[in-house]
Amino acid sequence: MLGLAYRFAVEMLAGIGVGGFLGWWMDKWFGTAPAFLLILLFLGMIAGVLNSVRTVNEMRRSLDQNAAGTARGPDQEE
Amino acid sequence: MAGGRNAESGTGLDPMHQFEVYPIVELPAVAGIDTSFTNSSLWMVLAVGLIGTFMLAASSRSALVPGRLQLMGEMAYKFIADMIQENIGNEGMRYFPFIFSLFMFILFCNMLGMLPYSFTVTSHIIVTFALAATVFMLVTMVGFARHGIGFLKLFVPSGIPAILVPLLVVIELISYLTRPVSLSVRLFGNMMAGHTMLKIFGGFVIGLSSAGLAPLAIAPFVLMVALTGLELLIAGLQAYVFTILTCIYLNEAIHMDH
Repeated sequence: MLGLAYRFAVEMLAGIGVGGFLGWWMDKWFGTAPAFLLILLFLGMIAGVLNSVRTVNEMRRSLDQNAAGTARGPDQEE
Repeated sequence: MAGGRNAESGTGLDPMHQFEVYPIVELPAVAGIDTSFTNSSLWMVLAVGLIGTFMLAASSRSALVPGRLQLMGEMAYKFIADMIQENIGNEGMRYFPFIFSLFMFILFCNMLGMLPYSFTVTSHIIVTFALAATVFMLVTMVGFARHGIGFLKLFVPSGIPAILVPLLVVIELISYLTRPVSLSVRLFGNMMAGHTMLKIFGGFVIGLSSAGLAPLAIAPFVLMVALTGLELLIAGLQAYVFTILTCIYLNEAIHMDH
């Protein structure tokens, strides 16, 4: 279970991190101090949640597959 | 796990000492980049050397009834080949050398890190990020090579009102860019956290027994033995997770089904 929780934490933090970095970089490029940082930070959070939802769907699919007794899915951790 | 020099430092046992990178052979800087041969490089070379020796030895005598070594080599081959067949299909076998090397390198680095006095290469984010960035660039290049500009359709979800499309494209783009980050942080975090934990419990054992409370030291010692087993599992599992996610990303770039 810890492995699962850890995966979501990483997924969300990565979204925020990438969004924040992109925003900061664009602000530096265009000289529009906090505008892009704020927008992309927010979009990054959305992307993080989206990724987590996709991870869950993937896990559910592999669980269904396992229940059917076939292929090994991507998420065997706990 | 246990560093040799930490007993001298004032605070006693420093759990982060094991991650220290130091040069073994000092080399001159090339274009401002330090090219010294470090302990990290040593363990990477060792991992590659071991993989090479193992695979060469496993395939030197290809008997019809395989010996132990040959069986291990064949199992490793089959494990990755099955993974590719399942996740990508036949077209994926073109990328077998890359995926197999990636898996073996991560697995051997993780496992070598479990040896006492060794250095865990994969507990450094720059190493895992370099691996993840390689995967990311390969996937992007394969996507563009296969579908040309049509690969960009990956970022446009279908069945969405036209007004929302620009917003969702940006979100999809960020989501795509988080892949190398989450891929590398997952491996790095698991390895670093596990090894720090092992070291802390090891420190408890030493601290308690040197304080004359040896019977109490049994508890952290038992826990540490159990954790070592868990760490061995994680070392294998994380190599597997990294590889299978590479397969999933490659499949998406080749077949473009979201």
